[in-house]
Amino acid sequence: MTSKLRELISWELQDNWAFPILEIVIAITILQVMSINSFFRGLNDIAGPFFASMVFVIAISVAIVFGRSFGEGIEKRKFVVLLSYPVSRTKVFVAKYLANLLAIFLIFGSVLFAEGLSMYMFDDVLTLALWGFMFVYLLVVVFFASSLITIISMAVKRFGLSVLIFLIYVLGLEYWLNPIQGNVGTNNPLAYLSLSLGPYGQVDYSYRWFYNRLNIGWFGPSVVTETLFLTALCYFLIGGLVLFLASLFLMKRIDLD
Amino acid sequence: MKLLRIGVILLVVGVSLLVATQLRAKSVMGPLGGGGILGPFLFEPRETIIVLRDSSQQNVTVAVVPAQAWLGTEDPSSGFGGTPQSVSEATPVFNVSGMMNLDRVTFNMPSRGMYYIFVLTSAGKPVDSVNLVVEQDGVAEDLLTISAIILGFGVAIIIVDRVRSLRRSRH
Repeated sequence: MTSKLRELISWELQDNWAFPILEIVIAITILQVMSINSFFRGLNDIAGPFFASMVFVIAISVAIVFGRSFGEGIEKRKFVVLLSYPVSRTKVFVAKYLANLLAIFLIFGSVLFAEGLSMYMFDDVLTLALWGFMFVYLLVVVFFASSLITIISMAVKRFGLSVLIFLIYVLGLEYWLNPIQGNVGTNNPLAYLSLSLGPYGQVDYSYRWFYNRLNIGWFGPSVVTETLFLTALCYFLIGGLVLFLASLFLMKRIDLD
Repeated sequence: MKLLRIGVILLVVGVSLLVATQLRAKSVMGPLGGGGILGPFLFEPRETIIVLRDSSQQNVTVAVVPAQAWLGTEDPSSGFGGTPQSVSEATPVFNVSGMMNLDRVTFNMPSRGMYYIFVLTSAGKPVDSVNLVVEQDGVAEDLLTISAIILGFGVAIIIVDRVRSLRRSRH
């Protein structure tokens, strides 16, 4: 990593994560995740409540952090100040994106680790695998949400408006795709575009696959088929990548004045 | 300034964990089909209360056996059923029979570790469906201690930082 990129990342962490942003993100993550308790360590007992709780945490944290970094950065002309130094737009974008993504994931990952410890998940290979899948798919969903808010912020160039659009999309989709509403069933691929059911479906499929590979018995079939798993994975991973590249392209072309 | 920030972050972590611990200390309910896993314990197990909320059969036996002593091959999380013989062979740490709906029993876990819980009918078969409330203060108490320690560290760091800055401003 070049020294300029390191400097930009350090500046971004100091500026964007100043009091009380870091404290708010830590507090809501601990409150939502550490309050999950179960005496049974099966897939439905831990992964389901975890991703259901994380929707609110991801939506609020990512919206505040990335919306502030990109939307407010353009609105308050912080980008213009940064670009007055001999750094390229790509470097500024990558530094901002990387700093915020890593910081958010460090907080989420640490709290998930603490929850794993308190739920005794590192004791046997099955629960360890479950924790590992939860960790990996959490990273994927955070990457998707970060890329989504980034492109919205770059497109509308306003902090408040970008956060509003992002929250309406994410929480609206969550409400509409919730099987309880009855609009879509759990066997409908659309349901796996939700921030809670999507990663949970991926964990469900991967965990069952892992369990059945161990030859310790047969973990019964689930509603999550390969098609539904791939739908969720493609939406979050490839969708996130496309949105990230589109944001990078927009950064190069955007009029910052 | 950095010290103050660290103190504030520790304070926030401590307070959040304290609140989260209060939230997670609630009763845990789980519909079981004959058996399940009982645990986990963070540090040391404490008093455990089991309430039989609703069972498809009456007069049931509730037994808790250490996971290591269980000789069965089936996975407890997928709703297996132990027999009275297999349960007694595994030397249960707790065994009570003749439980009716809304009965409650209290017992102490002897040591830290994983346990399997079985609910059997008087005929020795797994009950069709059962809703248990397992209340265990151990983990909550441990987390409460941890959050209080973190909170204490945060407050101490903030006080040290304020005292240092006061001293500096006097000089």
